[in-house]
Amino acid sequence: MNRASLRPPRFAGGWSPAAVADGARLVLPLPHHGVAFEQAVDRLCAHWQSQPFHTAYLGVSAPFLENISILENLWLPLAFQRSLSVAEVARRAALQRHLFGWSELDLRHLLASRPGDLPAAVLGAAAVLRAALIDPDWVLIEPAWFARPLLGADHVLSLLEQCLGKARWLLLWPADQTTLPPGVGWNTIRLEAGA
Amino acid sequence: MLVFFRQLYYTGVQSAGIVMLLAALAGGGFVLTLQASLPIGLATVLELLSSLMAKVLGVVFTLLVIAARSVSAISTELAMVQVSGERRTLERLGINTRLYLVLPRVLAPALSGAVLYLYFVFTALLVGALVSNQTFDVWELLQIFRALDPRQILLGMVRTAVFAALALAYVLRFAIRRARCLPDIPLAASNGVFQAIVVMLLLELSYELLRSSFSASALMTP
Repeated sequence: MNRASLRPPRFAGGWSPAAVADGARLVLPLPHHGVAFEQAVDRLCAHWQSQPFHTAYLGVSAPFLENISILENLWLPLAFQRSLSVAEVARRAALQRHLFGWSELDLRHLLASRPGDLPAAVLGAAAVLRAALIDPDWVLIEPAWFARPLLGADHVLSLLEQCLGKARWLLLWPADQTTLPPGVGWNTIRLEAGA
Repeated sequence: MLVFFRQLYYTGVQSAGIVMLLAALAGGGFVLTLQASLPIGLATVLELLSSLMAKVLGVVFTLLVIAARSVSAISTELAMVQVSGERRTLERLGINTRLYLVLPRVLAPALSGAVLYLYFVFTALLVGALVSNQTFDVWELLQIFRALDPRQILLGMVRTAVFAALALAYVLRFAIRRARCLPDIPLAASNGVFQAIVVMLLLELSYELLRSSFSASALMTP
């Protein structure tokens, strides 16, 4: 699969090669708040996940299932997207641990813990790790990821750049919030009418 | 598969003690009551017991245990997943929630139900034979178990599995989506148990009606 040729359909404005190049930083203003906004995000994620490229999703609200360990939480999307075993996911997580500054013991503790036992900052890092393990072509980011980050505001960007720098980011942003998260050269794109 | 095996453990292993306790009470109670009220021999009593347990009570009691233990736990769990927003996150991650959340929670209790039915029937017969006021005779006990119709046992297992799966599929289909806020969680559990019991008993009743109508038509055929 030629990843450079991958582009999501149904967007207006004509896709320039630069707009969907590796590392593109896009903002998609969605027209509504509340339930309508969430439904729009649901539809968009469903559409993206049905495409032949790998997509990660970064969210803040209920990022993990509470009744299983972090390792199983990391494994779940990979089991569905790539049919990887739990052991393989643990091995891949070990390869990435230096990006997060974790020792082997830290990682082992993280993987064995349940989400409820971990502080918010570690959960935020674990969410980034999950996204990184997918090795995504696209990362869909919900607004709260920047508006109320689990990690420190500065740390969020540096960690995202380190782990997911090559992927295309698509920030799903409420249309009336004009101030975009700082520190990133965002390009705004729009949905086609009726999409 | 992990979820499936977990559910198998919760429903199949953890419910085994309760099913066997109920079976012991039902089997023992049935034999003692029958012996006290009717002038019939032990062989007839045990024959009646095996027939009743294998044909009706084994299925009904096992389904009731599944409804009381598993349906309430599963409804609560899935309602919590819905209310907390975890289901939405799973779907946004590209995880098929029907495949991950619902299917193992329907199939595992169904499979466990078939095994629990076996536990129920054999425990009820064993305890029924033990509490009868005759001298305990291993040979007689073996004769009782041999008298069980294997097709009847197999049919009981299949009915328990199928009825449990259908009831769970019906309950979970509605339990998940309807839960919106925290007070909906206990409601989902209680409604789930009630709906499951109604569905299970309706299915069993329909089966019995069908079976009796087939038997009647078979008798009337020249």
